[in-house]
Amino acid sequence: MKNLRKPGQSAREGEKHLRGARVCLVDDDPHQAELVAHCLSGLEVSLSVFRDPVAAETYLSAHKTDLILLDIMMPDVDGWELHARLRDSTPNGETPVIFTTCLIGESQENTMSDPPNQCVTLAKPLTRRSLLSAVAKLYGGPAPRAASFSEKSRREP
Amino acid sequence: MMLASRIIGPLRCFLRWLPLSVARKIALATLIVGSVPIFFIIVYGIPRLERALMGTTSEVMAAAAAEHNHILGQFLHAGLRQAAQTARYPEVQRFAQRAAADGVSGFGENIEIDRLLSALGSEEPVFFHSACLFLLDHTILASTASAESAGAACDHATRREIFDAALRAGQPAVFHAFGAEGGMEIFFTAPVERDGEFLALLQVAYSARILRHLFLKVNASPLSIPVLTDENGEVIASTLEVDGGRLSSSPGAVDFDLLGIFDPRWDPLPHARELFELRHSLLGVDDWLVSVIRPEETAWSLFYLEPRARVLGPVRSVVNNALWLAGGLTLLLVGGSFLAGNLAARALNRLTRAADVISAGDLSARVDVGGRDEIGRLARAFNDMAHQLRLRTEALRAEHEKAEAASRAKSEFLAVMSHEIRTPLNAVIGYSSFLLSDEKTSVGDRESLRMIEKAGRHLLGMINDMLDFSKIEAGGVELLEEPFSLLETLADAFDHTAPAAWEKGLEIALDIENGVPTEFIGDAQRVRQILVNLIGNGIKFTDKGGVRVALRCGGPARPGHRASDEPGAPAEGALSLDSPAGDDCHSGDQPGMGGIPCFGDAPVETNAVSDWDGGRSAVASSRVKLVIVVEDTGKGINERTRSKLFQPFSQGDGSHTRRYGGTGLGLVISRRLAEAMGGGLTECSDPGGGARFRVALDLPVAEREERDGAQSGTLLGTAPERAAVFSGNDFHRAHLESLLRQAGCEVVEEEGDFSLLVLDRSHPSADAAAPYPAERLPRVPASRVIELVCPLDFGLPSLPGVHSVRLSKPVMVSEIIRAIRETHEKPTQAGTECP
Repeated sequence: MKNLRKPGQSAREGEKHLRGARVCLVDDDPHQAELVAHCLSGLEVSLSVFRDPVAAETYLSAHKTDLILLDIMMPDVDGWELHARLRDSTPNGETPVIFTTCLIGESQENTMSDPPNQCVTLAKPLTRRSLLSAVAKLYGGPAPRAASFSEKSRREP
Repeated sequence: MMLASRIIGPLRCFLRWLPLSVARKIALATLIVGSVPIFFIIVYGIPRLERALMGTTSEVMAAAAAEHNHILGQFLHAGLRQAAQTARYPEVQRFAQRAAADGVSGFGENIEIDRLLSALGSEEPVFFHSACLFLLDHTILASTASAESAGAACDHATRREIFDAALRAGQPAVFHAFGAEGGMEIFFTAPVERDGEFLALLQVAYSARILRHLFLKVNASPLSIPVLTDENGEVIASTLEVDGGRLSSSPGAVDFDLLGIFDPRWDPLPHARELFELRHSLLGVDDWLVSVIRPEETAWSLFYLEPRARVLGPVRSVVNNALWLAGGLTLLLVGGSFLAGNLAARALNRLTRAADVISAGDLSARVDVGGRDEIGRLARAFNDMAHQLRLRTEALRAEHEKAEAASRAKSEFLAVMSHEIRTPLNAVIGYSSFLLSDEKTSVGDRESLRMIEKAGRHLLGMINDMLDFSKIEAGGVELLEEPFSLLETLADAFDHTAPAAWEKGLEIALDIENGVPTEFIGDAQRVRQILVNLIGNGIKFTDKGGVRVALRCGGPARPGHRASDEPGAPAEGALSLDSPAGDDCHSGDQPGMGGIPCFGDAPVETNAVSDWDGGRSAVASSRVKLVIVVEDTGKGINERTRSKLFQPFSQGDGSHTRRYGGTGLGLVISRRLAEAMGGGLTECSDPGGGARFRVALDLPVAEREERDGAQSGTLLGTAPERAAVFSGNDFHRAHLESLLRQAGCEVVEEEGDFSLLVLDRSHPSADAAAPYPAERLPRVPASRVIELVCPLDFGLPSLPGVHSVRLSKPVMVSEIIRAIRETHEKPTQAGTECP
C-alpha cells in the first residue's frame, strides 16, 4: 500500500535535490530573474540568467547545468525550440527542464514528467512550493539517474 | 382500363422485386406482353373463328345436300310419273278388267301389254330391274322378267308388304326393299283402276345403285359422301358401296349409326343449315361434319358427310402460320429489347461508377454519355450536378479554411492576450509575495502587500477560469488518456489546498473506502482540478471544523465494505461521518466492485493475510464508477443559492463574492469536466449541515503494477487496542475515531482507561488548537502514543517523557495501522517517524 504523499513533502524533497545546484534561467521578462532568485533563496543555488535565448543556447552548449528554467514565449526562439536544440546537443542533452509560462493557468500545469523527456510545465507566477515540487517530481520517478543535484555537483569538480 | 391496371400493377411490383438487371427485366416484360395476344388467339380467337367458319360451312354443305336431294327428287318424280301414266293406259285398264273378270289367263300372252311394260325400262336399262302387273290376289298378269324370277319376287314377304301398302295408299308410291338378288331396290307402284274400282297394281323396280350413279354425277369429291337412309337407319344408297343396308367402304366394312346423331323419326323437319359432328373412322378420316336433309314424300333422310379437316384445315394452317410468325416476332422483340435495355444499362452503369467516384471524393469525375435521349439528358444533368457540387465543395472548403484561419487567429489572439495579461500579474503577485516574506517589510506595508497579492491572485484566477470556461464551452473538453495514480493526484490536490486549511485551523480528513482502485487511465490534471476546486470551496466557506474527502467505488459488482457502516456516535458539531455520504444524492447506484485492484486495506471482518494474495492483476478494460464526496462543516447552502449553484458567474449572492473571492466558475468548470469523464457533479447537502458535493467519474482502471507488498489490514491477531483520541478539533476527532474503528480498535473516552493515545497536535496558529494538558501526561502509556502533526510542523518537539510515533496529516487507515504496529515493535525508540 502506497503512502499518501503529505502536503509540502515534495517541496522538502525538492529542496534536498536542489541544494547547491547550478540552475540556468532563460526568460525575456526582466522581473523573472529576481522572482526565481527569491524562490530559490537559501538553497545556495548558482543561478545564471539569460534574457536572450540565442545567448543562452551558446552558453548551454558549452556549460553543463543541473536544471534549466525555460520561458516559452520569447522573441526569435521560443522555449520549445530551444529545448529541442538542447536535446540534440551535449552537455545538456539530458538536463531536466522546467517550462515556466504565462500561456497557461495553474489548472493546465503538467507536472507529470515523462522520465525520458525530463520536463514539466509550470504556470507563472512561480512559487517556491510549486518549483520545488516540480524538481522533486523530475527526480522522484523510478528513473535510474534519480540522484540529487548536490551529489552530482559534488562529484564534478 | 380496370383490367389493365389490375394486370400492370402486380406485374410492375413483380418486376421490381425480381433480382434481375434492367435489360433482363425489359426483355421479360416484352415476353409477357408479346405472349398475351398469342395466348388470346389460341384460347379465344381460334374457337371463335372456327364457329364462324362452321356457319359458312353449314350453308355450303346444306347447298350440296340440297343438290343431291334435288337429283333424288327428280328421279323419284320421274319414276312415279311413268308408273302412273302406264297405269292409266286404256289397254292396261282393259286388260286388267278382263283378267279380273275372266280369271287369270295367259301370262305373257298379251304382246301389247308386254311392250308397254318394257318401255318403262327403256330410259335406264342398266338399273331397271323389272315391271310387273299384279292382280289383287297377287297373281302376276304380266311382267318384264321371266315367270320364275317374277314369281319368286312375288313370293317374297317384303314384296307382299309393299303390295299391301301400295293398295292401302291407293295412288302411286315409292317403296324400297331388298330385292331377290340381295341388293336394295326402289319400287314405284301405281294402282290400275277402271270406273273407280281397283283392278290391278303396277310395280316398277329399279336397283338402288341408280342413286349412286346419280349422286356420283353431282358429287364434287370422293371425300364428300351422301348417304341416303330409310327411317330405320338402313342405308338405301350412297356414293360408297352399300351392302345389306350398311355402308361398305374400303378399307373394310364400317358400321356406324347415323341415327345416333340424327333420328328422322323424332324430328321430321328438314334440317338444312345445321351441322352435326360425327366422330367415326371412315376412309381414314376421323372427324366428319354432317348435314341432314329430308327428301319430300318419303320417310328417308339424306346425310351429307364432309371431312372436318377439309373445311377447317386451310384456315387452321393459316392461323398456325400466323401464330408462329407472332411467336417469332415476340422473340425478336425480346432480343431487341434486351439489347436496348443493355445499352441503357451500360450508360446507367457508367453514371453509377461516376457517382461512386464522386462519393469517394474525386469531384472531377464526369460521365461520357452522349445522345439526345433521356439518358443523355440525365448524364448532362449529372455532369452539371457534379460541376455544381465541385464548385460548392470548393467554396465550402474555402469557407472552412477561412473559418479555420479565423479560429486559429482567435486562438492565437487569446494565447497572446492571456500571456500579455498574465505577464504583468506575474510581476505583481511575485513581487508582493517576495516583499511579504521579506523581514524588513513593516506591518503596515505587509497588510497593503497582502491586499495587492490577494487582488492579483483573484484577477489571475478570474482570467484562468474564464479562459478555461470559454475553452470548455467552445470546443468541449479534451481529455488525456494516460495512466495515473489517484493517490498522487489527491496528494497534489492536498498540496495545493491543505496549507490554506491549516492556516484557518481547519482539518482535512481523507476517508477511502476499502476496495477503491488506485490506478486509473484518464486526465490526472483535470481530476486534480475538480478536487482542488471542491476542496478549495469547502475551505473557503468553512470557518470551523474541516473538509472531508471520501472516495467510494460505485462499480457494478458486489457492494463494497463501507467505512461509514462502522458503529459509533459522531462528535458534537462535527460531520456525521457515519452517514452514507453521497448515497442519498443518487439512489440506485449502490457502491460495489469485484476483481479490481484497489486500496489494499482488507475488510475489517477478514484476516489481513488472507486478503492479500500477491498482486491481483487488473483488467485494463474494466471501468469503475469512482465517487468522490467532498463535504465541509461550513454554513451550508441555502435554497436561494442552490438554484444558481451551477450557473456561470454566480456565487451565492453578491456578498459572497466580495467576502470569499473567486470567480463563480469553479463549480461550472468542475461539473463540465466530470461530465466529460462520463460522470457528473451534484450538490447533495443535508439541510442544516455543511455543503456536500458528489462527483462521479467513469474511469477505466489501469493495469496495475505489482503491489509494493507493504502489507496492511487490520489489527486482527494482536491484542485488542483500547484507543483514545485527543484533538482540539471536534471534526477531526470524530474522523480519527472512525479511522481507529476501521483499524479494528476499540475507541474509549480519553478520561477512561486506554492503551493507546492518538494525539492530534494541531497547527499552533489555529485557534482551535490546544496543547495536550500536561497533568494528564503520566497516565499516558509511555510508548503508546501516535502524534499527528501538520507536515509544516514536523520539527515540533515531542511531548516530554513520551515515546511516540509521529504521523503527518492527513492520515489514512493504513498509516494508523502501521503506526500502531510500530508502537508495539519499537517500544524504546522515541519519536519515530512514519511518513
